[in-house]
Amino acid sequence: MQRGIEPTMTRMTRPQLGTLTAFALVGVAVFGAACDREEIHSYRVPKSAPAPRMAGGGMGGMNPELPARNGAAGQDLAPSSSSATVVWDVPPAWKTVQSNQPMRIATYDASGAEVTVTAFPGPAGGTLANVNRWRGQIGIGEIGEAELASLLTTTRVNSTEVSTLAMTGGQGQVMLGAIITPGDGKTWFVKSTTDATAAAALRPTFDAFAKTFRVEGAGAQASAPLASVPAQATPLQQAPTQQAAAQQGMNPIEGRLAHYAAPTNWASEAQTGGIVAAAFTATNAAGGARITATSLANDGGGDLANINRWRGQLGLADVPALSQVQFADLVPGVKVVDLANPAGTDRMIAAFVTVDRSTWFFKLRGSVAGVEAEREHFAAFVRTVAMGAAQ
Amino acid sequence: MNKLNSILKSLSSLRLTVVLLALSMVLILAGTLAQTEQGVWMVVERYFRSLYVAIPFQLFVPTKIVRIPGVFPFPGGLTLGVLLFVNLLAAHAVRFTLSWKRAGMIATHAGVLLLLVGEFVTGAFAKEGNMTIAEGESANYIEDTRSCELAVIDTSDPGDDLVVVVPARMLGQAGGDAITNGMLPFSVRVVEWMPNSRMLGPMQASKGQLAKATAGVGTQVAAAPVAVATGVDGADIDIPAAYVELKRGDASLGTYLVTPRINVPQTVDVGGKRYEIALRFERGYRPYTVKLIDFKHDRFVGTETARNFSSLVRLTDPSERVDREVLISMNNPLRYAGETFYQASFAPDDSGTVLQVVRNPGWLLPYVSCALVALGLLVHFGSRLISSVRRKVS
Repeated sequence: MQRGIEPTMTRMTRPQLGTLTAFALVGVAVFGAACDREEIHSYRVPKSAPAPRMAGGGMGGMNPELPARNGAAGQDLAPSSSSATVVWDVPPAWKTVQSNQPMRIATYDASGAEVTVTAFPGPAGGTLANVNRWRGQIGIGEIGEAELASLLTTTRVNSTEVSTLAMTGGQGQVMLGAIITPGDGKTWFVKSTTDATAAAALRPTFDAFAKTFRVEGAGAQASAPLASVPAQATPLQQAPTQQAAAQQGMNPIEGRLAHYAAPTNWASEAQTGGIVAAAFTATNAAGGARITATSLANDGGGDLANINRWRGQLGLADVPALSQVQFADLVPGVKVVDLANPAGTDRMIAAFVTVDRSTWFFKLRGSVAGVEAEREHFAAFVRTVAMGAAQ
Repeated sequence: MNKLNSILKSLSSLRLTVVLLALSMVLILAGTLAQTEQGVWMVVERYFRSLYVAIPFQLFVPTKIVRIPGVFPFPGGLTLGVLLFVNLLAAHAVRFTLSWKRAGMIATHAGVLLLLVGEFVTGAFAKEGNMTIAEGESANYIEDTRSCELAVIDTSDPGDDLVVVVPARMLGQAGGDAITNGMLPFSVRVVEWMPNSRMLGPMQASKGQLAKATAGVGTQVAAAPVAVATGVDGADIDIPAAYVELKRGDASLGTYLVTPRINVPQTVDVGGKRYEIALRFERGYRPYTVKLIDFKHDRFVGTETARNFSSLVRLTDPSERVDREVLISMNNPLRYAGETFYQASFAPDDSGTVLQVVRNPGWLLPYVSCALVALGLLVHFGSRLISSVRRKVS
């Protein structure tokens, strides 16, 4: 190599000029590459293509607590993915309340009583299942089809079918409810729980409010009367996929929860929505338990990490590998761990399963005996919601 | 001109070559050791694609033996690569003469130069991401799981969504300062930034943790920081999380928890408009759409051992009038619009596919450079061998 070295040159040769040019280009490229090009930017994208939806269409865009937007004072609306839009008239005395519950379409303060509006695709599990779910929330037992008919007052306003009811709870509270099918392919639910006196005063306004729900715009379609749809008639496989659910503003579990009727001793907790699809408090003679269903994207952090997290909650040491985890045999196809703290006072059964591109977690936690008393109920819950099995 | 000549001569120094190669070896050692504490791609960016790097002394000594604080500056891979490139080019300009005798050496050096250029092109222009599609669904964007972005989406237009994107790096560097921009409907103040995180469910999060967020799903679940995934952790990726306070003027719109683990939309109402916010993997939208018709995960009979993965997709690109079905399998990628779609992974329940989408304008350069180097060495040593044989024969 040394033989190629030449004596000092006195003027630039063509190769040297080329070399200098190459150096300049390299310098510019390096400078460009070294510069941080990350900055805030914007772009427009077409709305996602419609994903597979449940029978009767999807939720469309969520519209929690929006003030009147269509020019008519006191009127709210919920934009749908179709051109049909459901609107309703808000009584002048009611105040719109901001709510953090993603599943809620609207929340109102009706002279101290909270009135909520939600909507679910299709028949949403059926009227009977939903009424029994509500009954569970106020601590009263389930009813059958025959009793349901006498409980509901059903009227039709143009193309909207409205069923209203009032139920007195175990502690004297009264729940006013309305199940509405305006014809947009969804079932709308209006609900308020308050004391008996306030409920009596609220009911006329409440019922009138429920009857104002209607579809505006093209694309409205007639929906089947709810009474003709049995609770478990809709195949659970039609639960929306994660993509569809996300487009509908739903937790991916929500679609399947609509088909689930909780046991009578499980009271649904109000603080659900978003990641927490459902939370129940189970009362039993053994100390009770709490049940939650949550959903996280992708692997939810990983099986081992989650199991160790739960173990940590109970004061148990981490396990180094999944192969050392002892899974419980509760629901076929679902990974289940049954853990108790060293003192034997706190127990947790955690089940998790991958559905679409998310991981669903189901947990039952309470005293050892309290959890044992709810074990079968919990298994049925997981079987129905996670695996899509008929109840 | 004499001055330029002397500069060129200095740059062509063989001593400089040796020093640069020695420094490169130290950098490679440090970069390899750094992967015990940092992710592969973080190391690539910090050590090998940077102008300089601050290397901790502790990297070379286990903490069990002694704790050594501090760092020392070191030239990064970009600096060393450019200097090697310049050094080799200058050597050819100053020392080497063009002749058939030197053809082998010139070809070898050209190959080395091309290899350096190839890495530069890859580092600067290559893009890589995943397209995750569930069966029956479509995707028109690619997610880069190595970086995230805070997306603020105005969904009010019935046809299009207006997306304003704040790179996650800005969130991480913001400290307590509010991020403002004319395109954003509100300012974003990062209350807490977690480069990697885990979720705390409703039964796990303490009241204090739940109180960090005042709106959205963060009032029900919480996030806690965890150590970033390192190069020795295999395929683990970082899932960042942040508590961000959104403000319109002086009015707070709430503090939200954002993380790619949240799979439901979180909305913020501002001035009569509804916006969705999400911290998500960086998205790159494409003019074409890929729909997954069928994903197949064939196993050997009687076992769980995978025999084949394949994705039957429908590729549609109205701008190019493309509408065709393509079968992508493990060794048969789809090449379209300068990108290559590899069958990379699948949903755990076989309900969807994960395609790795790679755009690398310099993908051919390493092949060409290796061929050049091999050819050059063959010619160089071949000619030497022939000369030697001839001398012995004569």
